[in-house]
Amino acid sequence: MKATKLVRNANRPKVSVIIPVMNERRTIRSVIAQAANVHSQVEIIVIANGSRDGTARIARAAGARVLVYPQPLGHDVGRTIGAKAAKGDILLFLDGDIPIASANLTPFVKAVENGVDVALNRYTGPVHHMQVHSVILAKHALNIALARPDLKGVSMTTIPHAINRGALRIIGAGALSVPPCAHVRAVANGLKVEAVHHVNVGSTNPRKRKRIDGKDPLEHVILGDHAEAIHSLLTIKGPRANRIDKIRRREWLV
Amino acid sequence: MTRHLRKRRVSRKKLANRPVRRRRRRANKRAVRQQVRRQSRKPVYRKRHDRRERGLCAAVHREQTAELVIAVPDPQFLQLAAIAGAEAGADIRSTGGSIDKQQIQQHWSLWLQRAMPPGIAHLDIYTAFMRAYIGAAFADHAELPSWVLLPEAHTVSCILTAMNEERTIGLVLGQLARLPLHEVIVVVNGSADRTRDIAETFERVKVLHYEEALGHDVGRTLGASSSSGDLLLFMDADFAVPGEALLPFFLAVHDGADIALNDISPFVDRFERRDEVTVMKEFLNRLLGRQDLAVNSLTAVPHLMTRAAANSIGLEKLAVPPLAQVKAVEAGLRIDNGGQINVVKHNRHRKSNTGAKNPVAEMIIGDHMEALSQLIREQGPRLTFADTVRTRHS
Repeated sequence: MKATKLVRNANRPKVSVIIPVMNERRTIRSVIAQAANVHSQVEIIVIANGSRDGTARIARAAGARVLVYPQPLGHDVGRTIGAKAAKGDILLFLDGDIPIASANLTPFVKAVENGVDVALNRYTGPVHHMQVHSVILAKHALNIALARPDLKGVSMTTIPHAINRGALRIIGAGALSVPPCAHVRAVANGLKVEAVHHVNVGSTNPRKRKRIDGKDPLEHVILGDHAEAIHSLLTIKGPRANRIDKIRRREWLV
Repeated sequence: MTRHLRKRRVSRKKLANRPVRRRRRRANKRAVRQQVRRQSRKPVYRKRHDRRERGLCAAVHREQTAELVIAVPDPQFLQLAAIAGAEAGADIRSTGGSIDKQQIQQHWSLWLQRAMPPGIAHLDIYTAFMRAYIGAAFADHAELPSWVLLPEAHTVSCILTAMNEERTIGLVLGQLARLPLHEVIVVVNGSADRTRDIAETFERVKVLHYEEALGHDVGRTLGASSSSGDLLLFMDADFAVPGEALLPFFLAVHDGADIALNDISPFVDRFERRDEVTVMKEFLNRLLGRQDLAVNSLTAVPHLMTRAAANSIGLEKLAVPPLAQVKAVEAGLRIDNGGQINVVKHNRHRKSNTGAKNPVAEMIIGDHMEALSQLIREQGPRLTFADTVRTRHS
């Protein structure tokens, strides 16, 4: 492969683009190429974990900072590692397997530049059915629990999204591994969380997850993530999440 | 402009309207449309029926599907039911006086147990047998009673909560009077109208009266703790449910369920149009591993449960229905869908329960949070969904 550099990482970057990858040699070059154009001072951090197909080599050749972990870290853990390594004021999170045109990435960076703390993708997946996937249901329910029904199914689970350094400090890099928890910390701590732009990542997502016994194994992990997120919400806001129950005369119940 | 050109322009216009060209133009347009459709991956559904098949819009209501299912009672057993009914009528009359609901219920459930007519789990078949039975018992009467007999001779306590329901309470109790209930407990609270007076005119009605408004569902606990039946039927006094419509709940319990919920799934809209409370109900069921219950929960009335189920939930938990739902699932009770009663349509609109951020919705969402916090306390922050994939870095 021609090793033409696509990006020159800035010494003092404004935007850090964080791309966790596993075996994504087919798409990683175009993901980097698009990400390089979001800002003039940009650094691209690729977290290659458990890669056996040379993804890391391709990313390095394209000019990205590559952090290599021989073992798979698991879903979204790369976001934590990337966020810790990032030097920019704005952190833009992407996936290595979904190339998104830079025109669809700049709105997130722009929104953060203009004062939004957490700028999210407005895409919520197929919701026009009678029965929806557990993940979609959980995202909607979490926003209702957070008293942000206006966000519908918008969540930090979905890429692309961008946050500023202040938001990173409040959310904590560790929480980024469990995106619903990060989402709760952002909203419950009063950060300005907004859906800023629509990028359809459902139809472009080529990844076919392996189904075991007709069940999606990640579905249960993500449901668990949302339960964990509800747990952290209840820890912050109390057992009814700040919803008072004045009208019910509980003294009659004993 | 020369005469020649003008002539040509006119002829072009005429040409454009010639049928062959018109057809070709339409064919072209159609081809482009089809191509665009092929590119966008969303399938285009032309007919509503087609969309319904694929679950893209609300399901057909029960009343409409009932015609599609052909349920015919076995004629031989229908005859047997009539004979048994006539015998029961004669038997009761011989001991003196007129036939009352409780007596005929005893005979009916005994006959069901002995004869075991086929297909009684099906509502239509059950009703046909029941009608034949009652018809024969009252063969010499001018008028048939519109009674609704139950599949088992359990004693049933109905618990009704009522707050200023003078307009509907009479209708509700009128329908309930068609069933051989052991008692109806009306928890009248915070009522300034004639709710209590109307309720007291009915037989087998026990009124629990509270001057102050107790708040949502507190009446369920108070009613349940002063009841004595084997089965507890929870209802609201704000709209009357036809007696027959309650039968599926009893059939579900007869079939072995501990709790029979109201199945409101045919009455809810597509996911994107649902209200916040409905989303939370479904989320709680999903986390409880009960995807099959969809949006159904103890929050909605009517529902029926055995006394043993109520006791294992804890009567005080009945006042916070989502909490009771969690308790019921944890206790391993068999929770089934019973009847389908459209409470979505019939719910009385008040100032407090309409609009986006109404206090009732806020309270029910809070109830769900309370239920989740209980669940998390008992099962841990991730419930039953372990994180099998991550190597966590703090």
